[in-house]
Amino acid sequence: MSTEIDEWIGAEVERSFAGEPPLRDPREYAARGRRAQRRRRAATSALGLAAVAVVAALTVSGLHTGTGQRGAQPAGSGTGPVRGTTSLPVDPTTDRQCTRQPAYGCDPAIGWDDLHSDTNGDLVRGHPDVEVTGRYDDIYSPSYRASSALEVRRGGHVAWLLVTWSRSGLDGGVSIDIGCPDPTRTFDQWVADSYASQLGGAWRGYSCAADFRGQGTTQR
Amino acid sequence: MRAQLEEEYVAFVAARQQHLRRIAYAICGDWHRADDLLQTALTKLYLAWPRLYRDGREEAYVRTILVRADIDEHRRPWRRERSTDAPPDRPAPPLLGLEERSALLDAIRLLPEMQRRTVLLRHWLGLSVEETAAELGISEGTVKSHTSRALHALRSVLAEERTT
Repeated sequence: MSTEIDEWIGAEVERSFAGEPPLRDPREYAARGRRAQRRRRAATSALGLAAVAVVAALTVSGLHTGTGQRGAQPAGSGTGPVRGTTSLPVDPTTDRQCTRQPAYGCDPAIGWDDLHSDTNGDLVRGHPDVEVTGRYDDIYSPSYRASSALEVRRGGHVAWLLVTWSRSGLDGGVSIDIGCPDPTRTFDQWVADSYASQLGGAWRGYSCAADFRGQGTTQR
Repeated sequence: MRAQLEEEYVAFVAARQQHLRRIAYAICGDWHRADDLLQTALTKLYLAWPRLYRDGREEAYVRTILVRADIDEHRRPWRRERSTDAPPDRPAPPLLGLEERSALLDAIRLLPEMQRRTVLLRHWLGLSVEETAAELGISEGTVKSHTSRALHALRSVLAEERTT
């Protein structure tokens, strides 16, 4: 019953994601993080300076009067929170070469939803009749090893899967996005587009223009 | 943050932001609030990234922040419930199309906050009782009792669906 209700809850929750708004550029979050880091450093510096000033003032006061005053209020309380603006300094150097979006949501009759992946990109369930015909690992960064792109075939049908997972591998955080093959693109091009839609720029130096001209894929 | 670490942070966000925002949405039921929760969590993650990335705990950290930020948000004075003569005039939450609605989703949304969070962490993300307790900041016994009550409510929906 528990497994049944798990799958039922999982399927229904996943269905509730229909109409999901577009994601932000990940560099926006990095830019916000940098600003927060600067604010934190500024606040720490201000507190440090305030503490030094208080100590110095108390020392000087003690030297002059010979009687230290207790209960002095710390300075620096007027620094107040620093408010950010709504515009973000996103790095403008990223050019988006491959801007076509993957066409998510294959024909449900084909039935790819039974595919499940392990935390290394391997399919673990529902795959006996599925053949993996293409695969790239570590899509988003060679050092961040928690993603794979798979091209899979079942019968006469093909799907492109983008699998990401939690690096800790313990918490069931595998997510699979399914893209329907598009006759105007290759699997490589879809991976490059998926990368570009998130991060901009070319995926591993891949040039979409080559495929748009029908010159095939770059062999790696 | 050094360039290499920042590149890894950006790669993590690129790979996982959709999944994390869906967690936030499942918790709060609103995409705009989910975006806000995710922004809060990812900003905090940036500050702690060097330490967390080394230990491989970045995702669990973000999930914890998402859940706790949602709890904090519910505790804010302007979100506390007030008694009024008439029901407040507010837009309905953006729901699915008629054909996509389900009794289960409605039932999940109607669960008390902690029961809903517990069910989502345990039965959607597949966390253990121990992990769920750690992420929600409650005891394992409380997790079990929340889960039990929530599943009791959901099973009755399941039973009704089976009879129809």
